[in-house]
Amino acid sequence: MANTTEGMTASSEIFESPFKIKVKLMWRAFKENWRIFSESKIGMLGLWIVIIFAVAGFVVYPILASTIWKSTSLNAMVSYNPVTGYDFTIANNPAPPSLAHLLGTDPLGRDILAQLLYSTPREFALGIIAALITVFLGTLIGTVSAFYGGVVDTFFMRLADLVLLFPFIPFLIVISGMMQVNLLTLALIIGLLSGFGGITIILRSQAMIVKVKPFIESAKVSGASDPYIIVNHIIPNIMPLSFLYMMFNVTGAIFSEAVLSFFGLLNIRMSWGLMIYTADTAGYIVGTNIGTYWWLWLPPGMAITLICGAFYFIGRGLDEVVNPRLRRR
Amino acid sequence: MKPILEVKNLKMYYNTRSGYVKAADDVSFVLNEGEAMGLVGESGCGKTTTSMAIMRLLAENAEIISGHIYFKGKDLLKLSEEEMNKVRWAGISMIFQAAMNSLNPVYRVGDQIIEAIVTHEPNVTFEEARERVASLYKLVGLDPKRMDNYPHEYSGGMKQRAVIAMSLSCNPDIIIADEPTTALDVIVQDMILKEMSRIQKKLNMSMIYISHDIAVIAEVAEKIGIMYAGKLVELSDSVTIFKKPAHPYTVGLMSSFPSIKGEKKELVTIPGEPPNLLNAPDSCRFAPRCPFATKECWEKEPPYEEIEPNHFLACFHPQNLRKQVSEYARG
Amino acid sequence: MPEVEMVDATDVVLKVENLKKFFPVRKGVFSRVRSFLHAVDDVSFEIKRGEVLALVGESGCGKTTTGKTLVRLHSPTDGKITFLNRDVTHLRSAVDRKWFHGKSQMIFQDPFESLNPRKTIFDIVSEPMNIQSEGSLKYREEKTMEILKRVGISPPNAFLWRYPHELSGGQRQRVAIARALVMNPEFVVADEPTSMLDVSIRTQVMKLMMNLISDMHMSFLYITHDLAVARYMSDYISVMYLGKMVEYGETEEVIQNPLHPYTKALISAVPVPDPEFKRKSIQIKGGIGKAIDPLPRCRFYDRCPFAMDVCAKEEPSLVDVDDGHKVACFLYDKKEE
Repeated sequence: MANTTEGMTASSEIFESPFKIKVKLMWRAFKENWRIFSESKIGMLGLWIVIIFAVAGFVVYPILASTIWKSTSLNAMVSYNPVTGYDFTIANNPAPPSLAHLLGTDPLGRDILAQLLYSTPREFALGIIAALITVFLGTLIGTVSAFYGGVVDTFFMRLADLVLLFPFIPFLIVISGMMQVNLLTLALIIGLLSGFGGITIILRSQAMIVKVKPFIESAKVSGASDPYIIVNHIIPNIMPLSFLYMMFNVTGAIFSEAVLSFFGLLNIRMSWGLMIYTADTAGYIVGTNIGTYWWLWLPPGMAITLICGAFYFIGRGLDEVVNPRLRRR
Repeated sequence: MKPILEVKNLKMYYNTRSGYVKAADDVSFVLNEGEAMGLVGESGCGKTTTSMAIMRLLAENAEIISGHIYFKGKDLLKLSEEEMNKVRWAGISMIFQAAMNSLNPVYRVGDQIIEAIVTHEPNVTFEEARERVASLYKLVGLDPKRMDNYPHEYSGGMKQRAVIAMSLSCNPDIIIADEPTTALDVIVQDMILKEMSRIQKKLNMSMIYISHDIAVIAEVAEKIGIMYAGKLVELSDSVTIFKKPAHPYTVGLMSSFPSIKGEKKELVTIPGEPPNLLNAPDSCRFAPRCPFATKECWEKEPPYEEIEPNHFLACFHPQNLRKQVSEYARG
Repeated sequence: MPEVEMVDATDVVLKVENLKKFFPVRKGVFSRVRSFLHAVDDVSFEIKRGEVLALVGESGCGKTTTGKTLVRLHSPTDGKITFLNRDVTHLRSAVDRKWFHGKSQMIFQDPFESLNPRKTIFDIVSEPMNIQSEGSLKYREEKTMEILKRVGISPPNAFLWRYPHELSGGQRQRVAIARALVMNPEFVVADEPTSMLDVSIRTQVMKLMMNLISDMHMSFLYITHDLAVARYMSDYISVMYLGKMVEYGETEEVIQNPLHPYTKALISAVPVPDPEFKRKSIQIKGGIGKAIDPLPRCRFYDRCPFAMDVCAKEEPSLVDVDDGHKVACFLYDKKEE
């Protein structure tokens, strides 16, 4: 039975502001969930990879760009820019890793490490914006379809089937031919498309399970309106699952970006996918060149794999928090 | 009467993250040939755990700390998995809780029973097995023609009868029935209980009924064990248990059960709730809810002793209890 | 009930007349409605203030559907429901709905499923006031504390901010009762509120409910399959079979002197906690079916040991046989003639 709450609840005053108590409760729930999550090795591995990337992209890069790499910049007054920052001291580009360029330079004489770190925050932003849109849409549509059923349900479910069967990458290729796609528009497109797709079906089925629980009937008996039930009872119960799928969607978005950049279809200046694209179009990822010029494709390839894997691992770790059945006793 | 199953000081704990859950703690009883015994208790009292230990169907984190289970003189806890497999079904079979829902919906009911027979007795041919199932169907009161139907074509009561037929299929010496009628309606429950009792007497089998419902057990069992919080607290023949119970928990249980017969009596409530068995202390586990608890009860574990012939009890105050108990029962 | 004297005999809280609830049965590829399940078919009764009516029957007899229809989880197919002298059959306006839902409540069977696992006990118990926007936050807190104390959750402020999973089954059902009673409802439906609880806890909860009913002068519809529990909880018993009410009367009268063959069979099948008592049970044939488009005849006809020709031709109606003891059976209808 109850053993985690003794200290807090016994001392808590009844007329303490409910808001304060709610914050405390959320903190307590967070600690408990953190305990379960932190016991999952795979989840912690993912989290550490994400933290390392975040620190590298958000903290290390600005410092390096404005100090050490500044000297190699065209204009010594501004920070190093990995898109335009050519190193004229090197005769033959791409140059292999050296002390000056830890991961070497690309065919245009730009620092690979700098490009890698420069792109990191953008990849994060893309992944998270796309995932947020997806989950927001998925939760809303899934819940509404499940709750109202009938025509609404049929419409959104058939739409989801359609989106699921939709050739995703070819579609993005067509879109990018029609309009200028930058990272934000890409995040919107991916978010909207997958928001109507598979996640809706999954969240709907979860909402269907919650919908028939007696506590919903109990609220109805007290006269609760439909929106009240959806907001107060159904959504809070499918939120953990939404959050879990958000993690998986981050992976999907970053991966799609890499694929599109690799085909050179995005109107962006720098990204991991674009780094591989640059190397490829210059003919360095062909035949024996693959082995010789490994620093051109291995760092961005590894970064994509690691970050995608990391978010997936976090999702797996969260799975243990969300599905109590997976927890070890 | 010859004993067929003897459980001696069985201790089975669940090893969890936060410590040992003492699910069955020092349980001892003897089941004789042709005897029907009942184990009564609330959820989490260890009645299902005990039966699972007898069948050696243990959860991954279950540990048998000590004890013996002698079946026809052999200690089941010392058998290899292979030898134990021979004992299951043919020696001791079990009707699991909500077993009627465990019939596989995509196979014919008769075939599922035939499969059970053929798996355990490889020498039996399909035709012999089919004949045996037909006679089992007659025994449990089902029409043998229904053998080729699927589970969804059976009603709840029929499914339960089929499950009983399945448990009888390898001529076991003992059947353990875990809550055999819990999911059934009153009228069907009554029919099934009568049927089981009749078959048990006809085949002179031994039977262990497990239930939370003391009225159900009163109908079918000659001997009743009362379990509380992992302990067997009282064991005797059913008349003794009902007419002169000695353990305060048994008394409380009897007088808290509403009855449809006789005068409408005031119901007695047992205060409090069953304890958490995680790292349970070595004292009387009923002490916190017991109106007669003394200092002794809080400090030591009462020994499980035979206070009269065939009346076992684990309580420090059995002698002077009777009078007080009757007052307690009167409210 | 100790409070019986205080109750005004004419004070009818809930009156149900010819209530019907049919569910469409969809079959086949095109989901066309071809037939109806008669879950509740022509049921009438009334409950006075402070009175407990037990609705008894086997699973599938329509007792839960009746209860849910009365608190508006289903809308009735036909019939009339009068609550505190107001017709609440349709509840078309929002004002009517608010009024009705503020005064009627339901307690559910499963204490593990009827409380939202993501809400605190305070949220759960105060939710009806929240939905009805009754009182200030402070008022809600005071009411919540008070009702929790009354249902035996003490000290209440040690439980207010816990989640349901931190409570035992018995405590949860107490919380569910507190939630149902927090707005002093006039009428409460309790659907098997003790059947999932352990024996020793069950008696505690039964006693608690009996005390609360007499303290708060509520009208109670107690749905149960357990006749022994019904005997202890109720003033009147109504036995249902396949959507029909087959017998109705004062509790002790029905238990001691059942008239309908089905009631007789039901009572004779209840196990008695006494090993020396030998029951004589009445054997009835077959099992309970489903009332899908039933023929106009007695629904118990196929299983009844006393079935007569007339039973196959007509439906028996509920007739008062002996001072308020009503039964729907031709065995008794004939005597009248």
